[in-house]
Amino acid sequence: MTITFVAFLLLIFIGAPIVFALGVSAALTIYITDIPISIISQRMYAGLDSFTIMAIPFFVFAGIIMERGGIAKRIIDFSVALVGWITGSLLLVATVAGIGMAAISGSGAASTAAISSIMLGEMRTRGYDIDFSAALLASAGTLGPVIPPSIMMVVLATTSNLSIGRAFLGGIIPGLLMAIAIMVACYLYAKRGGAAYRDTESFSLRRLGRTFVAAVPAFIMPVIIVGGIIGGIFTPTEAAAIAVLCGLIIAIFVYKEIGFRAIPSMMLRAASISAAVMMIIATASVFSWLIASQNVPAIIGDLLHEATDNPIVFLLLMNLLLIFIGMFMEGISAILIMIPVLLPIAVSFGIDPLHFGVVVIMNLSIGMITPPYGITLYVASSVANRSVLQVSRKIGLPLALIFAILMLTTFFPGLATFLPDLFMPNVIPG
Amino acid sequence: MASRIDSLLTITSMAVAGLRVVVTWMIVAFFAYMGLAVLIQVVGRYVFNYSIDWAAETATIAQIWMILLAAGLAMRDNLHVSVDALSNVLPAQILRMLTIVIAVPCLWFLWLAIAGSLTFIDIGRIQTSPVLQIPMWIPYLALPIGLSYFGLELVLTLVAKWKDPKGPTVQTDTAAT
Repeated sequence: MTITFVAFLLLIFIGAPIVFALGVSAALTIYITDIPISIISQRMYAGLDSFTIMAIPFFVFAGIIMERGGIAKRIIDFSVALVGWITGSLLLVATVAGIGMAAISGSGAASTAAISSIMLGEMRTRGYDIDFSAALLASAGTLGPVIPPSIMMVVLATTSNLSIGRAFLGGIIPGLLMAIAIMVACYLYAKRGGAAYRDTESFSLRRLGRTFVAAVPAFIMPVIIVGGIIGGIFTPTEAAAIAVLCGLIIAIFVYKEIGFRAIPSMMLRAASISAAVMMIIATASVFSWLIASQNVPAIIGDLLHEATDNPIVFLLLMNLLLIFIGMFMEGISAILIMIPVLLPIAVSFGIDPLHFGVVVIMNLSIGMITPPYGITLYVASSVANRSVLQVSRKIGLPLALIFAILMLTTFFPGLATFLPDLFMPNVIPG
Repeated sequence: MASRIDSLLTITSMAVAGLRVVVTWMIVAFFAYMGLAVLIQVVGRYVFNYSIDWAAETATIAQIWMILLAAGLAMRDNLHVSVDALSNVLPAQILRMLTIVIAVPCLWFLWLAIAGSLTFIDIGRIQTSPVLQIPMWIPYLALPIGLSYFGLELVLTLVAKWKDPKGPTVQTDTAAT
């Protein structure tokens, strides 16, 4: 087992794609022990042979439709009408739009890309500090995996046998608290800033109404997706396919931003992105099969139990570990590698698996804005034409406030479990 | 001599281009089928009050084919994530060596997975799927075919990286996280 981990870390370090680092290190172990090599293909097949994970390609496809179909633009227009009159308006607009995008798209990076490319130009024109603006847009992107629907949560729920509906519901309160924290960061920064931040537009009820009507089709989608799953009307996979259908209808017939001819190229993009994620699921299932067969969770669990039996101490340790991992690794890979080991240990400490799952997702979302490898930080910096280093100097304030919400959720499990227990009590996992 | 190599290269790149077109349309077809099958399943349940088991079964088979074929496409699009801390600090000559050091175990892994899948397909000759009794070698066949194409795109990426070690490594416009 030592060989597996050493080979894995070495491959990651020299820059091998994670999909191969998992596969090669598992194959190496299988090759030198007496396990038949056909187990590799068998486990990879089993990893992909699932109707539930089909939600991933559909949610990715739906996200691309939102990006290209003019849906982000309507959400930003509505956000301007809603909060554009407050000090530091554009920063707040970016956050509110971030909530809206998170609620219809499964990915933080995609919504950061969409919002940044529309808003950064205007922020620059108005004389906003461009580094802080980019840092803030990156921070708003962390809402994506926490607020449902979320691809990261689909992966988490399927690898740990949780209900996707309950996981989605569990993210709502912590996600909204994170959004409030980010808005507080905007306000604090804008208060200290110059006249540029006080240049606001006056509030108009008529404009709010008009932009709301334009954005209504976009806002119907989260109702269908999350409502349908919670109400037991659709499975998550069906809800994701319906999101694709709705998105296409809105983008083609209502907003008229794309035509039928655009569909194949969007599909290929979605297939490509999904394959990058799902091939990791495939090779990770060889890896996690090895880990489980060697009893690794129990061994590490025993070590931890010798050190402490306090669940809060355990969770704080997990936060440290996951933030560290999130600094270097993308969230979904981190879940696939770490959750099979960590979740059984968390349960042995008496922690609610759903609470643990939400805390994990929040940690890995924070990893999206921590240098050196923070995906939304990377996206926002490149749209702003600034280096990641320049932008990350300004990330401290929003990062600290989001971190405070993580601590709050760590200490109060109810923030994660209240809504799932209210709406979906006694749901059988799966 | 040089012209013979040139024409060989032209033929190879034409073959690759043709293969890519075929793979691309297969991916689109499988993806479209998945979407339609899932929507048919919903319509069947709520409109006709009839549970369509075969839709989920065939959609899952289409998913396996779609993802395994798109693995190579993702390689081509540079979407397979890695931690590229070293590529910013190391000189080009060492990076060039490193791409080989990385590629050898990756290709070895694909080789093992392809070889293993052949035994798997043999078993698939006598298995059938639960609902439609589809012979299981049909979905299993996606493994050697998809992984071979994955390997081909890996080698092509390797050639490109050999020429330009500092070239683009990650593309992040729309990642899944």
